[in-house]
Amino acid sequence: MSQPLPPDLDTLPCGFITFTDAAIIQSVNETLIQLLGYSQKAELENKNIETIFTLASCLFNQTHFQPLLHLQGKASEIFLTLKCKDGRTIPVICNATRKLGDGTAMYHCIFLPIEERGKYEQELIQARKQAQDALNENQELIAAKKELEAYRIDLDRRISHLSQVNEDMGQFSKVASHDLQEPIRKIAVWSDKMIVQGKDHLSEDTLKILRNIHKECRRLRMLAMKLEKYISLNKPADSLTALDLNDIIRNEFEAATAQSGQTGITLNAATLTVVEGYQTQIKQLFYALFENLIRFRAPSQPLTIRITGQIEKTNSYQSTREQYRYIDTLKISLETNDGKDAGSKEFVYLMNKKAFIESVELDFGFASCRKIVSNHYGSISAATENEYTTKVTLFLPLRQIG
Amino acid sequence: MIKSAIFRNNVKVSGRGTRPMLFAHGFGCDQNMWRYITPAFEEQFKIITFDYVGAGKSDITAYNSEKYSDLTGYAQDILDICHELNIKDVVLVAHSVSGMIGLIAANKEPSLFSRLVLVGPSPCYINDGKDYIGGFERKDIQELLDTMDKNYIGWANFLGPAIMKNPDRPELAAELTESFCSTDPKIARQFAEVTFFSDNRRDLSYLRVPSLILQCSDDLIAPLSVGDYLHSHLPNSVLKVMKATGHCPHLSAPRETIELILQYLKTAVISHIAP
Repeated sequence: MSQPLPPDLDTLPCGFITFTDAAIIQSVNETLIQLLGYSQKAELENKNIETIFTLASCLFNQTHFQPLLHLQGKASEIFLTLKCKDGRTIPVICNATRKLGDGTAMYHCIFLPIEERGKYEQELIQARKQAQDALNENQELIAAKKELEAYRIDLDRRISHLSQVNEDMGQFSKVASHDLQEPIRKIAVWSDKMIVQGKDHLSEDTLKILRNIHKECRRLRMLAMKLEKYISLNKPADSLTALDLNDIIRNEFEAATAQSGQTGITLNAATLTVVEGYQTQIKQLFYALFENLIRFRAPSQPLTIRITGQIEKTNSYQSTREQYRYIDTLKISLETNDGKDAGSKEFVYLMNKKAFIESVELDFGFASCRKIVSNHYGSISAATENEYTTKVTLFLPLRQIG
Repeated sequence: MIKSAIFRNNVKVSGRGTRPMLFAHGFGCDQNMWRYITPAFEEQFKIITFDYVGAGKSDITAYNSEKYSDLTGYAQDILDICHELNIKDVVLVAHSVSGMIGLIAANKEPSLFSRLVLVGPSPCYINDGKDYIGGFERKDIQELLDTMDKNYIGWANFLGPAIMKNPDRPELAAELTESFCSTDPKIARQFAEVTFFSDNRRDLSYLRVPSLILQCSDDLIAPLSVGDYLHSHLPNSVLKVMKATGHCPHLSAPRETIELILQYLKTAVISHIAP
């Protein structure tokens, strides 16, 4: 309900309004009516106070001004922008206080236009901001430079150390995977000869030992071959390209299914977005994943592998703490819903194993999965979601940096 | 050194129930904003409230402008809290921008959450010039940021003397800082920028946790069209248009807010979405 204002308030040299707890204008003085270009008070009375605010000031009103008034009962020197009837805007400074009348609260509020002062203030703010920015930038630069120096020294040491380790590894893997093969082969040949030649006059115990030697030689050669293959993952065979995962997934699924000779396996794959990667390796990755999901399936039950994908922002810093740079990453979930047996537990255990080399011999597929994912600066893990579902979660950045 | 999320986010746990209910405040507020809502759930739930870094009594030294340059940084803090408290099956009640922060968290680790209650959410505040109506033009947001810049001088002058003048009444100073939401204007300013320029429309279809959208009938910050958009893009969501107006029904219409949440928690089907 609107009330006439005392004449003195009507001609105050500033805008004056009163509004209710619900932000409804109850009265407005003549000065404000003229300032905003209205012709009569009735145009504003009983309207929401936001009628005379710009959209931004409405936002500020709701998030700051009104809460402040409710909490403190007053506010002073608040900067707002008023909206005139014809759309023009007027910057004002506003003071408001709460008056408690007969049980209801009423807010009294004055608006002082600061168009000229506003320009001046704008310049001040601009100058302060520039000074602050320059200062921040300077401080940040100095800090960053110091940090960078420390990083560079650290990085250099690590690179030296890594290249030494790498060289050792290269030598070692060559010896282990190649040079050792020949002596192993020879031992195998000789032990085989001894078995053939001594078949009639050697004791059964001795023959048993010789057969064991032969068996271990075969195992050693297999291990050496796998190791060589594993080490070769360090050097991708092809360069980075944009990969259509949908094709790769379909093809590798079919290949792994055919290889297993098993039936009752279906793939239910959502369309995935393109990611950058090493094609040969990503193919190997999905082949190994499917191969193992099939290997650990529950016997005599149909197996459905469901693949879904979503893009998530993740922090591209994986080892450095308190450093953030968000990148788009494709999160791929592979779920099977027959994991009601011990097989899935073993699958999860093997997939989450941290030691790489240790598992090369027994679980080459799992070790190579982790290696390939890490080559792409991603991550992989597995979990049993409930007693029926085994889930592999794979993170691959959309783009490889550098 | 990595600090505890409990300390960093001023986490408070109360209530007599076991099922966790986590309340995430919105832009320009702190956890006190939930004071009319939480008592209604204390009997049945374990109530968890917290302040985002830069708000309320959070640890301001934990502010990292790179981390919080995206809502993902705030979402990580929600996940940290869940992990540290070792809670699962969480009902997350999220106001305003927290709605999208909660969505990001729930997309990252869906198994932690059983329900999302989104109060006045918006996936994108700015009209995209095509068919999406967020309610604002880019220039409106720019003007808001300017308004905030201009008022910070005022904030400091306004709050400073009030605290200074009553050295013999420390409880008053405490009350002032407590009730005044954004304790750090610089952080609030960046939070505003990150919030109002955010666009999380892409993330909506990924949500696997059932959600309730509480849409106010006259909300400047999240207009009706935004509620409709969310409802049609969030799988397994329920939309309730409230009688309450404004952007803060949990302050202006706590009873209606509580009623709708209770109703939703009672009737919604407890289902992990089938594949």
